[in-house]
Amino acid sequence: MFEPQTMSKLLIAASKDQLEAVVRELYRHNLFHIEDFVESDAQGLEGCKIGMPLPGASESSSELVRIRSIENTYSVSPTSMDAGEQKMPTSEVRQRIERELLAIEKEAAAFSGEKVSLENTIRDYRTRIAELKPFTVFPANLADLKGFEYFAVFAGLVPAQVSLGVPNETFIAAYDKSNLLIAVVPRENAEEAEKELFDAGFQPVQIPDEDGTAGERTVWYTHEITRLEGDLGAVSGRIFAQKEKNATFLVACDELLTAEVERAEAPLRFATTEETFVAEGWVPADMVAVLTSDLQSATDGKVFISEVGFDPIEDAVPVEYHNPNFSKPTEMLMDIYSRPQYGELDPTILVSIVFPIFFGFILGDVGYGIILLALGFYLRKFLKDDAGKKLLDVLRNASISSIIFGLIYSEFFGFSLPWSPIGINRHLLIGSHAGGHGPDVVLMLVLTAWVGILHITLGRMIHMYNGAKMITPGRHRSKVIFGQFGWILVMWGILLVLWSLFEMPLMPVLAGYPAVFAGINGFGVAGAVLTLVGIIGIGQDSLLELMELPTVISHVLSYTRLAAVGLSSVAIAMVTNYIAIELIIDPQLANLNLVGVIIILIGIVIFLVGHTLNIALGILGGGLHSIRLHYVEFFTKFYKGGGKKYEPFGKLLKFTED
Amino acid sequence: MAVETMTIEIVEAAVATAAGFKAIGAGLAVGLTGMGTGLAQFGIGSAAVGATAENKEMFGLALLFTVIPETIVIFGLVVALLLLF
Amino acid sequence: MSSVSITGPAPYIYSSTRMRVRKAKLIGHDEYMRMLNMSLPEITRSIEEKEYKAEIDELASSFSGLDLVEVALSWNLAKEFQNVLGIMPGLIKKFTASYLQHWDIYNVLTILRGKTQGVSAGKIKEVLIPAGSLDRVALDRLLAEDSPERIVEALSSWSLYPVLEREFPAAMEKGTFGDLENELFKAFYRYILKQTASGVKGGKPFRDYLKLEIDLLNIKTVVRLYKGGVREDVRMLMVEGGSFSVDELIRLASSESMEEILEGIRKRYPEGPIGELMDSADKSMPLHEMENALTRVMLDQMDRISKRYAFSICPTLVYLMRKRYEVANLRAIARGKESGLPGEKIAEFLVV
Repeated sequence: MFEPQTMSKLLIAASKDQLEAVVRELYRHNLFHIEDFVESDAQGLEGCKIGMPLPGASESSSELVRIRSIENTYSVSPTSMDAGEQKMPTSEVRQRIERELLAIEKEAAAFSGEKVSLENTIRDYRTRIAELKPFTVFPANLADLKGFEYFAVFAGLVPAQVSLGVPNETFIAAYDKSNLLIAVVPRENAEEAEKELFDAGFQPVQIPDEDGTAGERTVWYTHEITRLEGDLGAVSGRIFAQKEKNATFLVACDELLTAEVERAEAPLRFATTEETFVAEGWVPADMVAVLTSDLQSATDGKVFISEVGFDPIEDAVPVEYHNPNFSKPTEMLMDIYSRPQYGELDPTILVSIVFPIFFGFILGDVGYGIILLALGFYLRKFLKDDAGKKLLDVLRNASISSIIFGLIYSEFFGFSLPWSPIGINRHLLIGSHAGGHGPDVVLMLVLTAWVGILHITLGRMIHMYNGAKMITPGRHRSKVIFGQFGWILVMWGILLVLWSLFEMPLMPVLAGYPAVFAGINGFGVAGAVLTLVGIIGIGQDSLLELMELPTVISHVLSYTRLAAVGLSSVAIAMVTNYIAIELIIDPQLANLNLVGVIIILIGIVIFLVGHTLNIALGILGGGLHSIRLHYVEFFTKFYKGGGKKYEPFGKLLKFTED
Repeated sequence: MAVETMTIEIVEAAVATAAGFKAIGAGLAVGLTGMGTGLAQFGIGSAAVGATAENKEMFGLALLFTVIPETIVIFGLVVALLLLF
Repeated sequence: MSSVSITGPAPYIYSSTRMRVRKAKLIGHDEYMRMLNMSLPEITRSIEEKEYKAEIDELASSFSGLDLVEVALSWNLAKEFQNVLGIMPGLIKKFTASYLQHWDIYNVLTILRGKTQGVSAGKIKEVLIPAGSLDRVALDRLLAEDSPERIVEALSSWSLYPVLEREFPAAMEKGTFGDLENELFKAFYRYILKQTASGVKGGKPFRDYLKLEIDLLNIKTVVRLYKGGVREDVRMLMVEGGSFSVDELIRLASSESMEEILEGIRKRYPEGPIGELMDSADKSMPLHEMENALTRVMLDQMDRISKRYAFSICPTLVYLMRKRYEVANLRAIARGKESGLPGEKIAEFLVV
């Protein structure tokens, strides 16, 4: 919690004859994050070279290229397929590769050959149609323009009529803002004619090699294209049928061979000498013991493993999240911004709690919440990768929060529920039912400002914590910590001054006390002093930071978007209801006739379109604004990010098993 | 009597005018800040669309950068709401 | 499309960002170092796991071994460049298209050379890179023609056609296309230098860069000529537009010794990476190493200006160049592996 998984740095060294055993064991455990060896930056391993792949890498690679080519023909991809109920044993996959691969490959090649040749012909015909296009204004057979012995033919586009100074026969007709010109001149005058034509802005166009008028030929080609597209559809159908048959085998092959290749090429990431190799990498601290003992037993103790010390702040330690299940989906939102660094506080849990609250606060409507919830469950069918699932989990939490806030606000598609809103009223004065005092705008604005104040203060405090934890004790550390404390002082100081001057709902009332200095009361003076001390604190950390002082106010005000965006969403919902129901449907229901029914249908369409749009806007508004408040207003106060993702060497097998 | 009606009418007119100015002010607040946001977003948007077209993973961050100037229009909206209610 | 506004800074921001992301995806130094330890099938697979997936997957059923890699690389390069052209808005597209025309020169000459030497159309097709204005279909048409004359005729709508038409008869008479190639490149550079003044953003820094590129190209030619023992008839081979005038280059090329040449270059570029290279170079430096070093200077310079003019035409051009050299590197590795060269030897030919 609040910290990533603790890592240990391991150095694994052995003689080269243990290479294969070590790699196999590491791959099986799927724990070891390899630190790639780079020759130009070989600290402590000078003189070592990148290793050579293990035998077999070549063969597996060529088979893999073949498999992926077949997968491409059948448009199968291992990432988009669910793991089968029954995993294929690797030995069986191996056998089947030997037995069946060639036949499957031939079949796929035949399919793709057929498909490609059809596609090429269609493309060729399309270009021909495009080339024929300028000549559609020329009514005669195109073949008549070719094969003259004593005449040269020029065809092209000219901006205006040209009269040539040589004996000629020309045809000209308007075409696409320009003119198609076809000129036939005696060969001996050809050069002269060409010069004159180019002077007149002539752009030559190739005369298509066709027998017939351009119009006829275009019709013929269009007809052919339709026919060929039919054929193409039939081929695609056959390909699809074969895909069903081969898909499981293909992904199993892909997985097996990919694993083989990854293992065989692991030495490319190790440092090697003539006789030995060294692998450097990271393992979660609690797994070191297991990995070490398994490696020892796999190599009969012929491997040297040592834990090396590292600097958790300076070294690029790979980061694996370590959060309770509830917060795991939110890791996706963190990765979109940036993974935390190894040494800093991981705010995932805070985001996982606050984000849904913000979302619900903005889009608090029972109806919308239910629709989003349903939408999330429906989309689960299509989004199968890890990130997609996490996104849907986040959406689920957000929509539940939406429903809860909808109950509080008493909102259902912009209508009110049978009870009055609890605490905050967002019902606008729209439509005939409007009554009461309207929405509590001021209340909401102040409340959201409070949210901002607390959220930002929390952010600054985390920065102080991070500073204390990540920076070595000394002057620099105290400066940073006091600088951050300065920001808090400035904010609360300004607040004190404001409270001493104005009365505001939901805020302490400090106005009305006797003035002590220049018309300002004691609280105000205290606030001013706090602000001043805060400014000194910020300034001693970094003078440039003082330029950012206005953000104290603007970032807090930025949180008022929670109120504003929410209210605009309510407004759209209520306006939609008002237009659709009160203005269109209700008057027609009063005395129903045929025209009325049609108008009612129009009203229903308006109702549906309005709410659909509003839901889309609501996801964007509620989601984006909530996450943006985190990224821009909250994270900028403390979060560094830029941690390296923990990517262990190995793979979870989906389709095969040993 | 006539004087009294006059006064009431004047007061009513004054109230209506005030409400009208408020509405105009609210409109200006949202409209002008909207333009400001638009101006700011146009460059960021071009870059964001470009980056996302090449690398879908950038979508989140690109969207985020694009919405940053929205703060301006939100301020406008807040001012408008305060004026109207 | 014309209704969409394509003026102002937005198109540059868009295209530059896209190209910068693509550039970040190019293969890095460490990955090349690992590839040097791999076998050809492993390299094939490893690029299949990167940006070359589509090509390898598609071609693996009809090609194998070195052919597979070579064709996939060409296809990918062509696809990539056409794709870049496709996503560039307005003026940027026009400029990029004119820059990519050097591929047309390459393709046309490859076809002409291949045809006169009686190479089969299919074999020629394998080495074509349809990344310029002449696309695959246009090149197929050229390949279908049976004589060089007909090929030249079929190119009548190509922008460099006037040069081709003028130089072609002489080239056929001599039986070599070297001079034709030079003339085409000269025309290309003239044209592109003119284009830099077309109002495209970053045109001016790019023109300065082009001067450097032309200089380096000329320097390479001079060094190559010297090492090859050619002393006369060099005027035709020099490209105008750089900071060296053609006469200076001729004088340089007729130098008595390699030191003299290096000294001449050092005088023009006393400092910076070129000066340093000249300091460290001596006559024992192998030609390919020298050329690679010069290419690296070129790419670094382009990198620098693309960072200074972040939202201009430069990031796009720098990506196109880097991509071109990535493909060249992979090709070098693949060919080296096929002929059994050791990794260290191959590494000398890489531009990293």
